[in-house]
Amino acid sequence: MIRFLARRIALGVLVMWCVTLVVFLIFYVGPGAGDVARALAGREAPPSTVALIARNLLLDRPWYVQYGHFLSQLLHGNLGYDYYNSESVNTIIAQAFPVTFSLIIGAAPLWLAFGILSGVYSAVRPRSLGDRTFTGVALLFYSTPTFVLGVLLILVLYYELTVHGVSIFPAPGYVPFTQSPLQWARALILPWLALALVLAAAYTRLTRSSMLDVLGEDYVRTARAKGVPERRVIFRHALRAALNPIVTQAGIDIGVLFGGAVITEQVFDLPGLGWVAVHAIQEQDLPVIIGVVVVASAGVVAANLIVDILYAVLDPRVRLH
Amino acid sequence: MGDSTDQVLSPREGTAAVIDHQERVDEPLLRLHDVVKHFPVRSGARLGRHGREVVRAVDHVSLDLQRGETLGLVGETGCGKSTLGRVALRLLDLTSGSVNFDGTDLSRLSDRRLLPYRRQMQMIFQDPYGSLNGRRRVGSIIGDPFAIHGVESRSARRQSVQELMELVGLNPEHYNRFPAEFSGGQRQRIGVARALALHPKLIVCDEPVSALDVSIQAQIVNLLAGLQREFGLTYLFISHDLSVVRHLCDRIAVMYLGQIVEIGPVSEVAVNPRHPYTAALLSAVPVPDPDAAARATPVVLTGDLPSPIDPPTGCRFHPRCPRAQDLCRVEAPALQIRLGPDAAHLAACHFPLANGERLDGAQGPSSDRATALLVESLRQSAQALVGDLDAAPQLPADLASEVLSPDGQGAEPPDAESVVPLPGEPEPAPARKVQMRSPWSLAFQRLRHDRASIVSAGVILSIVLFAILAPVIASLTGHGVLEQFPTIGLTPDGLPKGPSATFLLGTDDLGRDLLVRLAYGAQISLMVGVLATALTVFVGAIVGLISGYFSGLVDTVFARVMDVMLAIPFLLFAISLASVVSVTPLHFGPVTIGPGISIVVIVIGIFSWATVARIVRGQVIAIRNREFVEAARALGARSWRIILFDVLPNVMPTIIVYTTLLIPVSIVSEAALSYLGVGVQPPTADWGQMIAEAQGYYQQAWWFLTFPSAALILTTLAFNILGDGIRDAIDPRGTDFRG
Repeated sequence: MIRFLARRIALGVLVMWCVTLVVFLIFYVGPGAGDVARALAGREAPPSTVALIARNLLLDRPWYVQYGHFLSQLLHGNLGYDYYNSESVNTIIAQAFPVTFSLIIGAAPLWLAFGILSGVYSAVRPRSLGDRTFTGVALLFYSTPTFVLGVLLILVLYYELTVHGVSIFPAPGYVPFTQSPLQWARALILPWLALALVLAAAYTRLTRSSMLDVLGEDYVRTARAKGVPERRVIFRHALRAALNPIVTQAGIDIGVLFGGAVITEQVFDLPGLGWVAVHAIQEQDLPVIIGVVVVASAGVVAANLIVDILYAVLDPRVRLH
Repeated sequence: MGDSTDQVLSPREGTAAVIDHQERVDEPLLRLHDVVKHFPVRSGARLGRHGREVVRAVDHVSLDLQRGETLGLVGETGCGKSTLGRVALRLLDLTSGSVNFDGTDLSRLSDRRLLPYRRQMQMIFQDPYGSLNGRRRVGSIIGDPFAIHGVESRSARRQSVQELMELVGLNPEHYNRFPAEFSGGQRQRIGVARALALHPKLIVCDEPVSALDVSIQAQIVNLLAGLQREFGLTYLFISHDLSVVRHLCDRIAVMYLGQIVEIGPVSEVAVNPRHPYTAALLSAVPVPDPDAAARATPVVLTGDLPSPIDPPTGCRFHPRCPRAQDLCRVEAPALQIRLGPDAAHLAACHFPLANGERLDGAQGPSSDRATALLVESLRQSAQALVGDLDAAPQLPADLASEVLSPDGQGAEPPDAESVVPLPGEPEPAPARKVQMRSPWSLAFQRLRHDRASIVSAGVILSIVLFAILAPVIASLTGHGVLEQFPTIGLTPDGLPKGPSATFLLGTDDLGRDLLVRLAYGAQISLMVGVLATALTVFVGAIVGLISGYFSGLVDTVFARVMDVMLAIPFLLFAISLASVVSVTPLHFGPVTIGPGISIVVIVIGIFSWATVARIVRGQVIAIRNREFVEAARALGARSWRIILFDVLPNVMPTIIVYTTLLIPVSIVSEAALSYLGVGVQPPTADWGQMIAEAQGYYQQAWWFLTFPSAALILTTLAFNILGDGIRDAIDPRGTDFRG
């Protein structure tokens, strides 16, 4: 177990290192030092000011010097400073992270519950009206891009309802949990729904096909033959075995979301990691971009690790080594 | 035949203890000298651990095979007999020792130098289902040897293949059928025809009948016997079925845990086994006569087969041997001559059984009679096995093919098994119609019956038409795609105008015709969807094929790269890359990658090929170990040929399903990038961009938001339904390819 963890964490660190290197290279072949320094200095600034700014930010040095500087800072837990306001990237991420986390913590249970339950129902009663409804709806949401669904939800549930005097859902925006838990949840309902509906659709399809495979297994027939109650057959015998691909997918999805639900945050104007990243990318604010990418990759790596451990929990045959 | 010149070398010392009894008539066709084949064990932790463990599949085996003889190689599952057969053909590399074929040492030859010898030695495989590529026609499978070695012109090939089919008792008119349309016995005949195509001298038969029904076993055994006489073939016949071996072979070699423990003429080994293991094996052969069976009590060995990773010291059989003594635990016995009438009968045992002695130690009251009974029962079992066709080996060669002609296949109803069952098909077509159909046309047939797929295909076609006709729509309405109508297209407040006779779907925030822009936007969506998917699938499939087929370093490197690519937060990177390029275009020689379609296509391709590669790789790894790939290698096919002709057709269904399901994903990705402002740049009409612009006006202009959204959803929905339909049609069992 410890060997396994050590190896996986080492591998994860390697992956994250590759990822930061790639981002660095992408931006190094990009607009380069002059542009950022010039943008910071302002249009009227003399060349000497631009050069000074560039030197202070190490922008005039080769990329590997900048990268080495970044790495040594990173090892001290410091992600660097924003180019424009000299704000600590740690602070920026610390402010954005709770927003993204709030989004995930509400959406994940929703989409897992929707997706798995409807998938199980569809598999247990294939070709029934319920199955057709669930698979049809799932296909529809599966085909709907998040940003389209988000925008439509805002149009119908916020705007049209509010115009007609029913103001259940608030305008896009974010309220911190510490400020008012109720307003926090209210502000997040639509983003949760948008994220959960699109993702749940994939889980319905995945659960259904996985469950159908398992329900055809001989041991399920054996369980029924020996008189195990149907509910127990479905949830204990079949679902547990059918969960593997679902757990894998959930790990990937949640891990990726930790890098910011870029689209959802953009649509609903939530200042989470994805939102921060998009704005930083537009401004070529390299330290902030890399900061978010490091967090995002860590999310993916951690999620993969948790998935592997969950395999062993779900399936006693899997041994971690 | 040639069993009077047997030469066997002692296994352990590997010294040339050559025993020559008569003058050599000629060199043996195949001479294995001190052959060792070890497989490294891959445990979970690849780094360190106490040394390298190996499976000693074949451990110091020496063996001669005379021209025209049939040597039966018998033993339990896992004793190394199949490995030995593959080493003999150089399908596996040797750990040490040498393989001498017809006077040439093959053990160190490169694949290229080996090619001429591949024509002279062939293999027949155990699994008649696994050893034929189900996606190629029979004619192409049997013609493969000609194609690989370039020996026949294309036109002559068909003639030769049909002659071969006739020779092995297949109807030459079935040239264009697929393996799935044949029964197990017929498929095995196809395998025999393929092996015979180049007139080889040596054929290694790896359990060629063990997967068949008993009556069909007899047909194949007789076919092999007939062909041997006709063409003077030499067989190495691997089997675990002593009855078949006894019927067909001149000599028997018994293997146990990677070594030969006894070898000799069939009449000797089967009647007077000297090694206790052979005796135990023989006693387990079922006896059809109940009286004889009651007398011939089987010797049940205690214990399990030891691990070939860590074989027992001394004699490998000692932990299970009822006769084992202290010496056996210490010293490994050499394969030496033991007493007996035939000097070519050898056993590797310190305490071999005497002539006629039974294994339980206690000599039977009338051992000669017991032996006679055993022999008789063996004969009966063999006869029961081969049935009334037993006489076939005595038939003249030209008669043999008659006996085995298609009309003679009475025991094997040709149609019962050859109809492919079609689960999920509403009304099975008549059997006649199903035949002669490729898996592809079957899939297409199923797809045609799926109403949802047909409707979706219609929708997709309409969208394609809509996109193609965009300029026509523009000229009919008189509104250009970039043309702004500030007076008639906007309200006095400068807001978009709703649908009207002039603007069928309303206008956008700049007073442009929404319908015209939607049509031009469809061009972008479809183009990017198709191009990005093509790039993704192309790169992913190539990497997956190469990585999966060539294991080792290439695979490790690719697999790691895939891991990294899959751990990358796709959208963040896509945005970064797209934004960087949208500021400063990249220049690759004459090609400039700036903002617009090309960068979107490339960004999507870069970040999604790994998913396809991973899935293709997984499938290729499963296919790589199938027998038909090994068969292609045995024919001398080069790697690229195997990948192209044998592996790719079997991965194709996955690739096609994936392609259909990736198109909507690519379309959505493009729209998302454009929505975020890093994709296709204004003023080009694009659905994602229109939705982003409409978001500012959703309170005033619902049409501006709704129509592009609907267009996008409709397109992806249609592609997804069609993709599901194609997946169900190709794989009716409903396996999820995304798994």
